[in-house]
Amino acid sequence: MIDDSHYKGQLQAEQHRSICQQQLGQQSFPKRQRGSSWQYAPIDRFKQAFDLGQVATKPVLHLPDDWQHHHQASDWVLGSDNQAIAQIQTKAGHHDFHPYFSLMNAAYAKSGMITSHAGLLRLWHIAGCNQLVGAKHQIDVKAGQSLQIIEFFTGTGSTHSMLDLHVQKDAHCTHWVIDLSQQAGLWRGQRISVEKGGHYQGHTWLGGSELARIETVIRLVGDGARGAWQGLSLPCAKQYHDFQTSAHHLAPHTHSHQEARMIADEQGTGIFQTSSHVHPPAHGAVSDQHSRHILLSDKAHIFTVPNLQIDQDQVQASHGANIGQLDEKVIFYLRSRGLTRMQAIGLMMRGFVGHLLESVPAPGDHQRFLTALTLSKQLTPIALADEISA
Amino acid sequence: MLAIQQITVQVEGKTIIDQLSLNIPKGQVHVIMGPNGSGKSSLSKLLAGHDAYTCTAGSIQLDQQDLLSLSVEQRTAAGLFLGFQYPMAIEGVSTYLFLREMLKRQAENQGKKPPSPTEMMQQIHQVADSLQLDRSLLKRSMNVGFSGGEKKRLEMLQMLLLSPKLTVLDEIDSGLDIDALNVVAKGIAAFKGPDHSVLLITHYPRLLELVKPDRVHVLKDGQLIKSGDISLARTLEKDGYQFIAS
Repeated sequence: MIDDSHYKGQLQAEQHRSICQQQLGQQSFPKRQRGSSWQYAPIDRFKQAFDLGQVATKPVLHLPDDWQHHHQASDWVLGSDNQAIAQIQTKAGHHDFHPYFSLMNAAYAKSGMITSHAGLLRLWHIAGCNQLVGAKHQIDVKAGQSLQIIEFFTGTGSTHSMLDLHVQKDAHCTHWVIDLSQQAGLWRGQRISVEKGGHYQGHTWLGGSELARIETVIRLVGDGARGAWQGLSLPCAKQYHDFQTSAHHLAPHTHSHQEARMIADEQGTGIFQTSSHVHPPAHGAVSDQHSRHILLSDKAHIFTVPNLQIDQDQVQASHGANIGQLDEKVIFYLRSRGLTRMQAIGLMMRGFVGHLLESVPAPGDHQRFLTALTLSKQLTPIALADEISA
Repeated sequence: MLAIQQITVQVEGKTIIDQLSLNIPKGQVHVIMGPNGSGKSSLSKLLAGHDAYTCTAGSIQLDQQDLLSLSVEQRTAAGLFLGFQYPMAIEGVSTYLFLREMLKRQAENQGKKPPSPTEMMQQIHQVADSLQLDRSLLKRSMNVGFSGGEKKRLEMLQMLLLSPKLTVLDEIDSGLDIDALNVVAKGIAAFKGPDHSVLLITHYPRLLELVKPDRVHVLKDGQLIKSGDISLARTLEKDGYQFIAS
């Protein structure tokens, strides 16, 4: 899959990155990412260039390895291919990405960034053709704050990314990872730690990647911390989608929930390997694992492996898994109401993922989620946007 | 309207309906009663096009259209509606969404422009109110957690929205309390008209006293063995099916 053109692409990306750094330098930004020049870059310059409005009161940036940014809802683009970024801007109807974002992403995203946010954060991971994008980022949700993170993976290249997410005391974080891509490969590692009274709710939806692995580790380190993760995957053709999740209960009265739903068609393969480990200090812990999957083809495969490791007596732990096919009785019922067989299956698929769809955070993102869904050939695009609310 | 001529029906090679004929003229309500296993529900599923049932002989026409040559959804488009004894639950699909898809498909099948979501919502609300169906049910997943009465009212709602030429109601009165039975009976009564025919399948004459059918037939061992008016149903309730056998 990776050939000479890949290395040419990488070379071009490096050249482009260098050009972007020079352009930023012409705007009086420090040319080098590392070193003391970043420590003393006046933040007013960022404020003026990016029109950020309310900016944190810190006079200088204190993160020499990367850059720090404080603001409310915004889109950030991670990737090295400006053409791909422009395409996704057009497709997404987002024409208002500030050009400096593209410049900064191209110049510095390779080594990642550290952010500290409240409100809504949207990240776009864009991999151009034959390119490999690697990004690592760390997000801290400060004590008592609430943050929604929506990450979109798109493009035709491969993405290798890592996230460290720290949910501090009594903070709340809802986190979406959405694969909208036609990517060769997507590997994602995410480590989440949740402190006392904190709450993490993660959702991962895999769409078009040929080969994808999402590894999620949730560490519940504080009393009463909660962590939940839901995954949805629709592997078809020869797609191979792999969810690996684990929850570690390290403190008393912690709760974890891990759930995956997969619909496999053609020669698609889905894997859900999940584990819960209740450590000795975690008395009163509650842990459950659920998986429900549908096979639409004789050649499709789904493997689901639940694991529980309990090192404490006072716990509630459960797991359940089932893999089945579509209920022909329901298909007949729907056809008797005028739907064709394919329309009936589409509606049933919509129902299978319905409770996940209902938790989509922003109306404007509905279409993107549905785009991810309709990447599966079996799904008819039953619009969510015009769902009637009584 | 419906003309069934000498049909023989098999399931997995076993004959369950044998040379049955039945005619339901336009605007009439007919009833089929019979003991368990007599073939009542099989007849309803055969009419709707269930592929488990094979018609090896005879013909079925709805308004001069050959039903047996049509797929399930084509039969619906042709004007047939089957109200289920056990309506299906579909988790995650709101009742609104389902009803809207149903109305959209009907408009497409009739070559019409589908109504707007607002128009459909108004139409659904109007009919739901006439059936005393709680509107909050419409937001919930289709039939999930519904009581028996609520499920049957929802079947009636679909019937009234689609306004079919022929309605087959398979034990629509099972599991209903008295109030729900009255609502269903009113729905059928409101639906009756010169362009609509109804085939009711039931075990109990209670509903028939409210609906006032034109004809009552008794099905046993896959054959219609007796026909009459509503007094036949009353006799059956009093004396049982042994009365016919004797």
